[in-house]
Amino acid sequence: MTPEHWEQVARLHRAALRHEESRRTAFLHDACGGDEDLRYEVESLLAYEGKAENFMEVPALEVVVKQLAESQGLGMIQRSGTKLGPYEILAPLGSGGMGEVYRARDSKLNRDVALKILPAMFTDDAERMARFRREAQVLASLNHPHIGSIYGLEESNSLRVLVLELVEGPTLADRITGGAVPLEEVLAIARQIADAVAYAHEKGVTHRDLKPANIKITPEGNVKVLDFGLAKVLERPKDLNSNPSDSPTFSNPTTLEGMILGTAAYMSPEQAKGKPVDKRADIWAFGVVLYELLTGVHLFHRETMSDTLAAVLKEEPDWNRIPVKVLPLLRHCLEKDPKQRLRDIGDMRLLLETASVPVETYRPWLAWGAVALFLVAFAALSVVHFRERPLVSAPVQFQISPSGGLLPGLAFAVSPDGRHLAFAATGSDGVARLWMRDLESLEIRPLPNSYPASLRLTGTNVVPPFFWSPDSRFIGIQSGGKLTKIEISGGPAQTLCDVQGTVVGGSWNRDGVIIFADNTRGLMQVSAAGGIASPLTIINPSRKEIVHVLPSFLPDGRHFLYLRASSIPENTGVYVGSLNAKPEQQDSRRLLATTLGPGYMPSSDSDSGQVLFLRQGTLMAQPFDARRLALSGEVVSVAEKVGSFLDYGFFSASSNGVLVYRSGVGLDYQLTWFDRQGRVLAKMAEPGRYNSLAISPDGKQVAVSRTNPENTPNWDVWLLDVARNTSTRLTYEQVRATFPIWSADGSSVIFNSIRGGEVSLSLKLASGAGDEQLLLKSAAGYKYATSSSRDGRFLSYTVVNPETKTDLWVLPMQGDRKPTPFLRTEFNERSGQFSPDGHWIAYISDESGSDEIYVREFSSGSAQGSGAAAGKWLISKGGGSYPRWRGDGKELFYVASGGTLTSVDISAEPVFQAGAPRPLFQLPPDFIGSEVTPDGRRFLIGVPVAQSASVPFTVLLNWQATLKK
Amino acid sequence: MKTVVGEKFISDLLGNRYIVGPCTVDQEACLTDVPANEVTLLLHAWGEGDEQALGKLIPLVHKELHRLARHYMAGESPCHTLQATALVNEAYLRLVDVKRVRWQSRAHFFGVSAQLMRRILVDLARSRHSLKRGGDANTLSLEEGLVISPERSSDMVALDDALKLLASIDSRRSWVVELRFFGGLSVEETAEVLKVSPETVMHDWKLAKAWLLRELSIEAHDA
Repeated sequence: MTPEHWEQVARLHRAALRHEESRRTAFLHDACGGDEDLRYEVESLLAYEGKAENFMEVPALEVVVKQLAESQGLGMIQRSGTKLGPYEILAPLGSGGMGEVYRARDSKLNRDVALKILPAMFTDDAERMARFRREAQVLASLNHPHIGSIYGLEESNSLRVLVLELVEGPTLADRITGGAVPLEEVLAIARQIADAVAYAHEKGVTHRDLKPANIKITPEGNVKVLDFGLAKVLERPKDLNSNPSDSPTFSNPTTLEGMILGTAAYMSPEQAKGKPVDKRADIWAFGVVLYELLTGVHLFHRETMSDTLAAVLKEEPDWNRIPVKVLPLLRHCLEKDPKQRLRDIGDMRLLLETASVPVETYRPWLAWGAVALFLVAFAALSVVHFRERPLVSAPVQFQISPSGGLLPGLAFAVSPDGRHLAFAATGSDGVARLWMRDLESLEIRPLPNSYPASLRLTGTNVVPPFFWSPDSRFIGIQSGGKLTKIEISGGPAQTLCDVQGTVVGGSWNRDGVIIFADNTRGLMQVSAAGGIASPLTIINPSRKEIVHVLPSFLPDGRHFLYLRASSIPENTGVYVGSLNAKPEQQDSRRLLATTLGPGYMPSSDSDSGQVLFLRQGTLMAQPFDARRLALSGEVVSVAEKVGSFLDYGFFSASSNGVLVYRSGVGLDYQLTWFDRQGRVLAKMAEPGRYNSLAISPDGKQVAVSRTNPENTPNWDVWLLDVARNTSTRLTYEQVRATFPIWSADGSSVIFNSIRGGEVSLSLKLASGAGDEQLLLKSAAGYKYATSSSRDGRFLSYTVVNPETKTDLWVLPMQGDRKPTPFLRTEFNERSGQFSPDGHWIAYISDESGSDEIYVREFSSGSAQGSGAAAGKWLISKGGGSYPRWRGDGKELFYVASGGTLTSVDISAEPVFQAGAPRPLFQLPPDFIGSEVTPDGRRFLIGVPVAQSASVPFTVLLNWQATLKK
Repeated sequence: MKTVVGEKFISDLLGNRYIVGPCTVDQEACLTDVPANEVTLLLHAWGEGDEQALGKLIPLVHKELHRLARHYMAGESPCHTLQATALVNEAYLRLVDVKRVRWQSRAHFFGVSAQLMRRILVDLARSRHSLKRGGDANTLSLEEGLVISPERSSDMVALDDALKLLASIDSRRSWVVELRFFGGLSVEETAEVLKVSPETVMHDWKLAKAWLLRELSIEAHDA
């Protein structure tokens, strides 16, 4: 297990513990989505949670002292010479999970036996002992030359001792330590084990703990399987498992809910998952034993329990190590799905016999081998031919779960050849990158040198949509203030052109023309070799258009589809554009109504392709005549529950029939109040698509920006009343009103608004009265306000500048209102927060290579320059975001890179001093906002309703087959 | 053969046996003949990296352990039964003259003490275990003729091994266990050492316990 994976487990474990026990299953189901391994791991740890309540609560020192004392007092029965009824202990033989084993002399029958001392915690339980006595009779009735016999059960004093046949000789575990065993010998051993298992199965007894250590070879070469059925009879009855506290004696940590006693490395996948087990579990274990004998290596042993179980569940044996003769047998035994596995040990024996037949005379398996080889070759061919046309005729669907602690962002794109899925994700280092998953392999790798621009609109990473080159070799994506192309086989990102705002999708034709959407301008055109971008479309204010985004070339490489979003619903939809038309002359006839960007997939067998678009969460396809540029057939639905964000629908199609989509990804947030210990105090308002929160100076109201409940692309500012838990919409006519903050006196809310491609800062009275007032209007640069100084004289805001990345600016609210840069460097500075006394600004900068919190002095004079002359203090350690002051300025909060809400004591007198960061509590993954009340006691956090890490990508191959129905 | 876990030890660790009501510690009964000063100096030296100091420390701590065991057996324990945290703290108080500790910080002292206890207790268990497995049980007696059940001493070793595994994927949580279980520190003291919040320690402790118990409960390795 990697530390990243482990941290993810720890996070979820902690989050799950905050839920009531009855709700944890549901929580984990949601939180882990399709990642069954992750869910299993967390659930398994939770299952041990209760049992571990008293575990290690007595300090080691006391345990040792007790042991010293007790051992003296009790005396050890294990000393040689100790007598137990007719048995005299001779020597210890070893120990197992089910008790210590000793060699002993039976003075009555004059033979040596093995004594297994049953654990006290088992024998102290009268009910279990009674059951054990009954079932031991069945086991004692097993009489087979290859099964170690049970002679009896001795009960003397406080001890319960099983008397067993003493089998001399090494175990198979010892043999395996010595390396691989020759095939003929393995077959001889296997046949005897199979006989023993078949006999016991016929008697209705399963072994359940078959492993090399339980199988011995006598000096005569006779195989003996030991401990048959003991695992089951020593197991706790199921009904007691339901509530460990019901147990009259101890909770038994060795046999927990659903997990039977056994050795992890030999557990069948169904055992490892805690599902019911039958004789097929023995067949699996038999396969593992055989594999280990043949190879001399452990098959599933790993460093830790959880890694071992994960290997059992996921990893395929290295079949190349197995002689061809026994390959079919082993493959049948080691089928992870018990339904596919050999059902009957008798079949196993048959396969063993065929394996013993010399290869030359035995054709059927050879034929099967040939078929298998053919299948492999076929699979390889199909990948090669994938480029031209799909080979499969029926639709095939499977899912890809982002793993390895990745938090996927929103954007993803499948390559035109259908072989790669690229997606934005944040790794454990907190950096958003592009990651690649080849559809024909399981590997997920980061794309080197990909540092996509991150919108930071919500949560941790919103990487805007990107696009592929037609040859599937490059990805076009925004990085900083540039549009770049990155070769997926490696190499640095190459700059293509400058970008003013955010690139929201693009398309790349075979003639080397790239078109892309600049959200502050419209669609732009640039050569794939780089150069100056020229406008292709112009946002039309008279139609109340907001943006033109998400272009997608049509097969002729001259025309393209794109989305025009307008505050007038009738003007919002997919339009057809042309490289040959002038910006103001683009076709203004709407092709179809949708609020989300379109996709296009050419058809392999006709001129009519498909336009893909999202409507109410359903992915639709409609035939499109690419020559007439017109829709030409019925709309059909392709997939349900497909997610979206702003104008971007979560789907991507290759040009050869591969469709990838994803459901909603952690976009709905539940606003939640936490105290300083991380306890949930209350929920606020209904879950929704919030992107930014701000608590009013008096702590009574919260301003949020969110999409409208009707989920149009518009974002508005709403005010929430803390005491009454009600909400009121503050902005209506805005097309995008986001990032609200409060004026110093709490009378009004300041927000950014995007209209007709211009990003402005506006102010509106919180009472809702009056019109909004324009504070700052300029076309260039995305900007948003971050804080007001308490005296009301200044507003700090962040500006995105293509040359200097994000900068901190200050807008005087009185006098000439001339904006001045506070900090404008080659690094990203953002989120400037005035201290309550107005002398300091806390902000985020990535000047050290990662985001950290700094504080600089602010005075009205210092706003004139770069701010660089003043001293600065590094506040955070190991990453920071969301700097927030407490109302008295004596404490500064921030979120450390791992998502820990952190506090730093601040004293400004006589000189500025910051204390060491103190972690307060862990925030949920993918949270948004980290707002603190003025008293520093309550935090308002947007908790994702579903977590993005858990939402898999669904891959649909040959999806057109679904259209023909 | 790798270590195997006996259930009894786990049940002991589960604490079912020893949780008895509160007791008051009679300081007089706890007097020891081990000079606190000497231990303090040695502990200091070991904390500074002097490995030889450990060699001198071990017999002193052993002596104290056996003294406690004798008291316990003879019913002379200040409590009717040994009470959890009090005993450990008390042992440290006897062993170490805390006032004279000249470490950079109390936190460092806690850390070194826990490390020492872990090492000594696990080594003790391991040596008894291997002696026991050596064969002739009759010759098995340490200086005071006390024998630890091999089953249970192997468990302390297994726990130590499991803790090392945990440390390889998560050093902080393994440290929490070292401080809490071997060092006998309270949640707050552990938080002080690790410079994290008590809430984090509490969660780390819970998670680590569940993880370790699972690791110990099922044999991950062949018996």
